[in-house]
Amino acid sequence: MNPFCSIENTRWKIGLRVLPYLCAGILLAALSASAAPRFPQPDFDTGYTHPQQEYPATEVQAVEYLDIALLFGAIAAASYLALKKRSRRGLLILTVFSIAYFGFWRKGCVCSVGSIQNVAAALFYPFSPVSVTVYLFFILPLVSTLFFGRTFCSSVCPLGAAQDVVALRPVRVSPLVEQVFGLIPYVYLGAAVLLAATGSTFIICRFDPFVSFFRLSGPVLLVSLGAVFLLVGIFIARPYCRFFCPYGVLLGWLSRFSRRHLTITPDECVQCRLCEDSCPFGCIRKPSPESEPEERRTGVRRLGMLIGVLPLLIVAGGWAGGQAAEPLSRIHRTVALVEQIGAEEGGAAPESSLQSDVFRASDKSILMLYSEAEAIRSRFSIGSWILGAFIGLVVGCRLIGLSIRRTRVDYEPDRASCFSCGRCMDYCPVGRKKEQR
Amino acid sequence: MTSSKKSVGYRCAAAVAIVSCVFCLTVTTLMIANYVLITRANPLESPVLTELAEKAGKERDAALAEDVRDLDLMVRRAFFSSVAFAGTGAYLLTAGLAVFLISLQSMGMLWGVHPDPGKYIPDDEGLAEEKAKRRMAAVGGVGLAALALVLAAIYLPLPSYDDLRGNGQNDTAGRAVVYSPSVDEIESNWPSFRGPYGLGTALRPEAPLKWDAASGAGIVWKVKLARTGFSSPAVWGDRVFLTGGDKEAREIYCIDAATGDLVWTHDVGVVPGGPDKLPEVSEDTGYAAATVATDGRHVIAIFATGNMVCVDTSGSRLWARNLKIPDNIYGHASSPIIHDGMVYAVIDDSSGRTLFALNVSTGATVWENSKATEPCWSSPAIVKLGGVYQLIANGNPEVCGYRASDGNLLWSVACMTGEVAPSPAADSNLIFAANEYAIMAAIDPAAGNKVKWQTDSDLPDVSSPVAAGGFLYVANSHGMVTWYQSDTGTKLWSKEFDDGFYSSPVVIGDRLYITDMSGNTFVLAAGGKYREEGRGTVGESVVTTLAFVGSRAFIRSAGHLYCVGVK
Repeated sequence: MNPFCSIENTRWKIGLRVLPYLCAGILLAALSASAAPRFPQPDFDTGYTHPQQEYPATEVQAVEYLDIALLFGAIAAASYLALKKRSRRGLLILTVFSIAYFGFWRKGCVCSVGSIQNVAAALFYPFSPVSVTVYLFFILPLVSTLFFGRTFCSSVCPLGAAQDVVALRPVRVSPLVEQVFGLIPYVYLGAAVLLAATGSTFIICRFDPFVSFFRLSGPVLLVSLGAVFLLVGIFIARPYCRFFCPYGVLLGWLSRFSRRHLTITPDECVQCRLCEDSCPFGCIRKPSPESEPEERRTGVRRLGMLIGVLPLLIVAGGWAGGQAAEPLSRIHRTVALVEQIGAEEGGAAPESSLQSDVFRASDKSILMLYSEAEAIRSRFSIGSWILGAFIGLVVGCRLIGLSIRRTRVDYEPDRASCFSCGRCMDYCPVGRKKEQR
Repeated sequence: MTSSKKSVGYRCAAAVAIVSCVFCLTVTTLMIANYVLITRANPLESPVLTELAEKAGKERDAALAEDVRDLDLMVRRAFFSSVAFAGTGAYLLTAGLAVFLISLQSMGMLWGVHPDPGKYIPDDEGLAEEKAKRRMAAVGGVGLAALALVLAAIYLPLPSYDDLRGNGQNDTAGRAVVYSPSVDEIESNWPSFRGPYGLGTALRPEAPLKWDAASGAGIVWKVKLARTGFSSPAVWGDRVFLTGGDKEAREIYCIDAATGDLVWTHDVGVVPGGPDKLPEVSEDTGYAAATVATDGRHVIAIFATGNMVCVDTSGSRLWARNLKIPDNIYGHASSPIIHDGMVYAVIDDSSGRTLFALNVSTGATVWENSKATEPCWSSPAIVKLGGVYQLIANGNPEVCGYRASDGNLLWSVACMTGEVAPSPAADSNLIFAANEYAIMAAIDPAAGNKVKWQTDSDLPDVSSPVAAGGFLYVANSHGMVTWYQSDTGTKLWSKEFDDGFYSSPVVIGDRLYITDMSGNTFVLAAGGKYREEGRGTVGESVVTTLAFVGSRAFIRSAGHLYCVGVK
């Protein structure tokens, strides 16, 4: 009889299921400790005693389960605090917790923003392993956004949380500048997916401006970049989230269709306009004017033209993206190596690089390297076309979106761009009155 | 909750913010200073320590060595103290920033919100803003497209791999259109080891018959070479090309064929991918045993390091690369050969054979072929069989024929063994390969790779056989010269000379030239009967093969290059 079936106590079941993993972990640690050194150590005449070799402990799987559980719990708490409790203070406390745990304790990894690349790599590179944890870090915030809006951004994402706490004297960014810079996250998303899918690099992780702070060390450039983001973030709230975050693109799309979303007022809006400038991110949308500012016919004609031009924008974008395929392909280490070897052999490079030296010392033939590089370049040709077409589509949709008049009765946050931080709630007199009651 | 700026809580929070801000700024300044210190005081790059360590090593001064160790320990302690300081500083800064931000947030919360309705924006201003937004969105899109085009423009295009494989500019047969001398030019010069196509025969020259270095008769000029080498001369037009090399340097020389003046010397120097340490070579081989290959525009040399260098006829480097660092007991000796815009090189060493075909102009690999073989020192030859130019390579255990254009192995015959140094010969669609302790085989590739005939006597060990006009001539280091009928293998005659032969015999017109290790060249009538028609001597050791162009011959001895013929 299966002992697992006969035991009805849930705790025993869980314990017995965890036990093999614990044993494996202990066994691995023991094996690691007793493993012979890979290279023989030199003998010194002076009688020097080599220090005992130490091996890092194997990370227990339970830690990853804890991460997932805490992520789920934090998103649930953020959604509750933003939508139900409407507590800005609670969100702030949760923000501090996220910075402390997901940021400093877990050192900013795994994060949902970077998980885009893991998923992209797994889709296009069959040999790329992705753990369940990474998949859940990718999916959970997206699913929660479909139900509750971008509550993940409000106080759970460690990157956003770090910027949120330094947003002390935010100024309004011109909407015109926002239109231009607002395209960057789409480009970043497309480039990150392209580079991950081609096995080139994970640029989101490489250029994460805050990871060096979470890890208390990092390359000078990255530390400087993070410092710049935080300093700018004092005045331009959440610059990374608004103008760079690729994950925010996905959240923004889903948030438009969310079942529920944070509202400024808990009840009926009294049109007091007190919340107009409350949002440091410029996400509050005003009620529609009573009279149409331009002729409907003009607007319809413009909309029709933009819809008609959309396919052209996609094709033009694809073509432009295709032109950038070659420069982009050089990011891949194999293509870069071929270029380096070609430069060395053609006399353009004064000396060889470590990579080319290692290649020459290997058994791989130059023809095989060229073939690999050719295959990578052809993937970039296709990928760059798709990236360009995607950007063309985004630009076209933006133009169309700016031409569509939405009827709004109340002051409400823009569902796509609102981070559900809850700052606006404190400005609403209806909310305050309800709170006092 | 709101509060005034004068409330106790707000003031406390403000005070804490100020103090923590000052603390953070102080720690940041100290960390920046510490970072500068770390980057400047890297113990691995200390010039003082390096100089002292070198001095202690050269002078073998134990006391100085001890001082160096103490100084090194001090520098390392200082470095790691700075690193530890940086780590501590990071924690302090983080804590300071946390306190600073918490105090600022507390101030904000205590101050509370003060809503301001904001400026009223009338409807037509909102319309103008909408138009501006659309314009900016379009500007953003155009800007991104422009960025993509700029990126494409500023980056020079990568060479297409068809170009690198030599198929960039294609002729009608789909091959790269590169410079290639005419057959007439090839046969009028001595472009590589053993002359045109590497077969040891030349139809055109009117070679000299007699010379004597002691009396000067028939010696046009004699020059001393800067460095030793066992490469044979290659000649194109009025230029003679040689290599020399030792542990100090490896060089290519260009000498005026008319006067013997040194035109230029090219020091190979450092080549990308080349070995850091020179491979071990025997004294009999040295670092410059492979003969140069030239097509009149490019001069290509390879050395024992595996470094291949191409220069133009003025001595300027065109390209250089390391093919492979040869690993064999004597050192690399196989000479490259140029044909149809490609230079071919064989490296047979302990890891097997690698056959390279490179674009002559760029050095880029056109094709590469690898095979499991034993180390060999033989040079390849180019033979046209069945309308196809083939690269013939002698090896252990197989003699192979590759299609020169793409490296396809067309045939191979396993008939060799031992340390194969002789290069193949060819005549009347037969390929001749031989080696001491193996056999002399006449291979007919057209007849299913059959060995048409073979013999195991008077086999060569270093010198390569030569075949022409229906006859095969073989010389070995024991002094034996043997004549065969090439199609049947019938031995016509053999003669034992006083000294052995390392130099390969050469058939010039209707004469056979063979040079022994004492520097005596015997000019024999080629054909069925032995008849001496001339003799020349340079009076010093000769192990290289003679080169013939026009009415002159070029002989490399142990330390000199001679030009013999009519002055």
